[in-house]
Amino acid sequence: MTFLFRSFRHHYKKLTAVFRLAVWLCLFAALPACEKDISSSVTIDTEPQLVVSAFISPQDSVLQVKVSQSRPVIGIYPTGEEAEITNATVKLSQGGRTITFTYSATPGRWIYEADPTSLPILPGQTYTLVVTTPDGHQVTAACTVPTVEGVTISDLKLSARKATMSDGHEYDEHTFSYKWQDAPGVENFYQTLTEKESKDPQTNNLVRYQLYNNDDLFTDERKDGQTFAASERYQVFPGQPNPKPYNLHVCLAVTDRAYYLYHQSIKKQQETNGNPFAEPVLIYSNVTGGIGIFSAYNQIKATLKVE
Amino acid sequence: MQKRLKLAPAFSRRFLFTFLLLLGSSSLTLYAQTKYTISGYIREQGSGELLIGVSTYLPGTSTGTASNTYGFYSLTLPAADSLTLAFSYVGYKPEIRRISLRQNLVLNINLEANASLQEVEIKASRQEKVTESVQMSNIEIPVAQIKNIPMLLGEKDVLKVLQLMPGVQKGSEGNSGVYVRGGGPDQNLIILDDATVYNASHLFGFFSLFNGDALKSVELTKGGFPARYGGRLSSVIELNMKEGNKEKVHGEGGVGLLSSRLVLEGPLKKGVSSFLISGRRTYADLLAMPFMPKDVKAGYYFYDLNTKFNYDFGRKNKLYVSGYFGQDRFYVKEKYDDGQTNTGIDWGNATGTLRWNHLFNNQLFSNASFIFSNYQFNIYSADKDKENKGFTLDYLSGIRDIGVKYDLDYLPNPQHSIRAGILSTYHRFKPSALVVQDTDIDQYRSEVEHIDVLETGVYAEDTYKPFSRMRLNGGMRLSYFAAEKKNYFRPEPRLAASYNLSEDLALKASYASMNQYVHLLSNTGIGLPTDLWVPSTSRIAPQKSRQVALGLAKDLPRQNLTLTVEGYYKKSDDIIGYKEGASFLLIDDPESVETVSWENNITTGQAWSYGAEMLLQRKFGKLSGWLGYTLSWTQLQFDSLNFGKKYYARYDRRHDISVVGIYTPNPRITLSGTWVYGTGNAVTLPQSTYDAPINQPSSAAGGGYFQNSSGVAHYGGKNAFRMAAYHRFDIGIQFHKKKSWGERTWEISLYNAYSRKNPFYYYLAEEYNPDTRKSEGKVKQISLFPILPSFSYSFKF
Repeated sequence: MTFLFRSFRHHYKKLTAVFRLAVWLCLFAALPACEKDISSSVTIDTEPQLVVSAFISPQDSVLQVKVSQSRPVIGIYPTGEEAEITNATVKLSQGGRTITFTYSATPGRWIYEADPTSLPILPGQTYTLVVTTPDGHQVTAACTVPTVEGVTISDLKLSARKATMSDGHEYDEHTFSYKWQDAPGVENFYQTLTEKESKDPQTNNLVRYQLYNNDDLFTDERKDGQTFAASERYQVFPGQPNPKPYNLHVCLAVTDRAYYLYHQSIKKQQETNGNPFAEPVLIYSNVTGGIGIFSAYNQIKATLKVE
Repeated sequence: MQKRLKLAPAFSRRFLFTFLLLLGSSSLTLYAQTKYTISGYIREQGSGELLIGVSTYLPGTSTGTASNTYGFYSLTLPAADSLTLAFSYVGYKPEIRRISLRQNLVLNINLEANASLQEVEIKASRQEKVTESVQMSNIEIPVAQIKNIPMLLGEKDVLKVLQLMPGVQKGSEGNSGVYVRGGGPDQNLIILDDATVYNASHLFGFFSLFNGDALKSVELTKGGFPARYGGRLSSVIELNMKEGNKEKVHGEGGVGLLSSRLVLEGPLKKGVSSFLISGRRTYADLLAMPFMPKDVKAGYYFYDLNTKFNYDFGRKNKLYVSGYFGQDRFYVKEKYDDGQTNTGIDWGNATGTLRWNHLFNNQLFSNASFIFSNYQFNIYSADKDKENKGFTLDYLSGIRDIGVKYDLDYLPNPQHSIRAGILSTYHRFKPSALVVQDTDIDQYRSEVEHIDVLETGVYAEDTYKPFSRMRLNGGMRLSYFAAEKKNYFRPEPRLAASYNLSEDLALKASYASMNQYVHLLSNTGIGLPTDLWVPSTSRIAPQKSRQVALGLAKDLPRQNLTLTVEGYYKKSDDIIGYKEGASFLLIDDPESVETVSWENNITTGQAWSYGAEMLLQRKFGKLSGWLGYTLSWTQLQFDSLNFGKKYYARYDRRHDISVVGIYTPNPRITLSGTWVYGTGNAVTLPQSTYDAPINQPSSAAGGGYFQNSSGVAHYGGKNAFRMAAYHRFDIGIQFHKKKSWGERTWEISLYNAYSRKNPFYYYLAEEYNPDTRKSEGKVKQISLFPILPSFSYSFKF
């Protein structure tokens, strides 16, 4: 714990030094600066746009589409109730069949739902999403569900080593590593997820928690047909209960290109938020008539049981 | 005996006579075909400064030449008993000589400066005509004019004056970055006495490196590049410093609001050797000190120093040594109860050249140069407690050049002017050097990366005048770049042609293929010294461009004006830009301090720039100056930026107008005014924000679910937003007075005389409106300089 705190402090300290410098630089350079409110004279489109987000996979037990509005940077910000869209028509179609989504009962969730048994999500098939609002906005998007043919997870391994914190205390550092084979000849994108599932000694329930992982997006560009390797680490401190047996799950999502670009752009924009020296990052959008994402993924799983 | 003579009396006499006649006439022709060379050096009367580009010609004909960078001229003409030779140069009284050309002649000329700029004698002489030069897309500004143009806070700046020319844009307010025909600021080859200068500005671009008092000539070429130039895509800015007065000690200096400067020049051995020293320093830090909060010492200062020395060994050999050294320092020192922090940025250039002129014969001139250039910038941050323990970070980046250059000028006759040469530079790049030390967690990390490369160019060009109306400059430059793991070899053909439609009207056309092996990674925003110089590598190909230009040049000698109208189209490939989310600080994770290779931070694309430029110029006279207009488009396309769609460059400026006027009613007063107008920059500004949920896949049954991310910004396209137009009027007045020791000048100037709030930066803000009880989004504009008066005092002795 102390180790984590110390490294955070240094990260923070260094960052503030550089940003402190940035502040001084701007002050110095802008000594006689003047500020003017030009909101009324600029030509920025202040019409809110329809934002539609949806991810579909054959493993879904419920299909969800999130519909919201964008908030223009100029003008009065709408409140949560004002911005909510409850009367949109959300339709998903494939091969001639169309289903309509219904607005979720919980207000504020902005989600439209549908039962996947009425329109099964199958690998290799293309789905079209059309969202219309009564005031005339319409958003259309399409995606194809990736197949998992040729992708196999292998070599699930758990290793542990002793490590010391800066204050001298020892702890166990576990590394859960795994590999997967990329399907050759096809453009593939991946998102990894690992979870540790063990019995909570107090409630006797199975509890899952995700292992933290920053680099979870992969592309097979320049690595087609090769083996990918990834690993996640977790710490077990002395005195911390770690009841066996427990499971380590790998969930590998084989995604389409839009999924990868969208998540990469969000990650990059968040990483550089507040850094005045970073290039602006555009968020990927693959819908027409609005902003948003409609993409598909297909998951394969593997489990390592730890005795 | 008698009998032989009697044998063919009439026949032999006639034969003999014809034979003698033939012999006589053929010897006459032989005599007429004998050519002799007139050559020599042209200097300024009094100081002995060599003059560049002086027109040397036979009046009434189109036969002539111009003196080269070292003041040398050579003209090979048929022998004649009496020949009139004229020498003319802008700002100087012309010289006419009558000579007899019966052998090779050495004729050195001294031209007298036309200080009073009277128009009386000008009409009688012939000025340099744009219609007689094959060079197009070329701008020359007399250094004397540069000193008269009002500038921000009285700081005379050569690069800012070039920004007032058509085809040349500036970046943001006060910035001296130069964007020529749609090219970025790294695409300009800035040469000071043969050495390349990498970062040509002080204080993030607000002040330039070059002290106008010490400069002899400034020339900007935007297109139609002759083969002797290479290595950059968009322009060549050639600056030559003065050599130093060979007769008397002279000085020039000035005291301004923000900085002071001094130039001292004089002979070391009269007529043979001279020196020049010039220096500048700002005292902005001393002025700001009283406004600093307690326990904080923050400041900024820059200084620069030029030194020159030359020795004339005689007609055949001359030696020149020049050096430049400049530094900028920006620092913040804060004291706390338990320690102090020291943060700052330093950057600077150092250049040195050693040049040797050698005259092989009166038609073949050579120059050998040994060149050194170094640029480095450094960011440091030290966080120390009372025992001097703590965290230090030192980040360096720079480039060091060592080069050899050899050029030959061969002038066999007035129809051909041949140049050839080689330039080879050894670059050592240091794109990032990082030293981190943390005594708390006992961590010391030092990572210095060096990349060594060799850049070579070999060229040959000829300026050929097939007949009096036409001039052609054709050349080839072979460029070669040896990177660490890959070599690049690129031929660059060059061609320029000029045809006189009538005496004062010429049609010009040119084609130039250029390559650039050294790149500047520049941040999207302000032109900070944090910009990195990097080489081409096996992964990053050299940038290349091809430009065609077509124009008309007209001389109006009676009105003392020149008019040029030119259109250009330039296509550039493999140009470099930062990837989205990339930042100059190549530190990914401060704990592990892993540097991200800069190669992973950049991406390549292509650019199209095209447009039309018009320039109406008067270089000297009671009222001088120019009027320039540019209409241009610059578009970029990168596969990994803006989702692969074309977008406008940040500095794409549709209309650019500059009006510069300098009026000298009498030698004691100079009035000057400048008005500029430019369409706004194209920037990336968010249009809206929205919730972009992330998909959370799960290994549990039920599949994925939405996970909220905080609101993301929607930009609506890279550089899709146009800032407001920029326009500004500057005015200045100078009062000159001749004193016993020399001359003094008081200058009062107003920058941004009608105080227009020109946009510098836009940002978004959220404000709570208590009346409507709602939050509102607003766009705010930051402007830098309102009306700014300045006073300065300068002197000359």
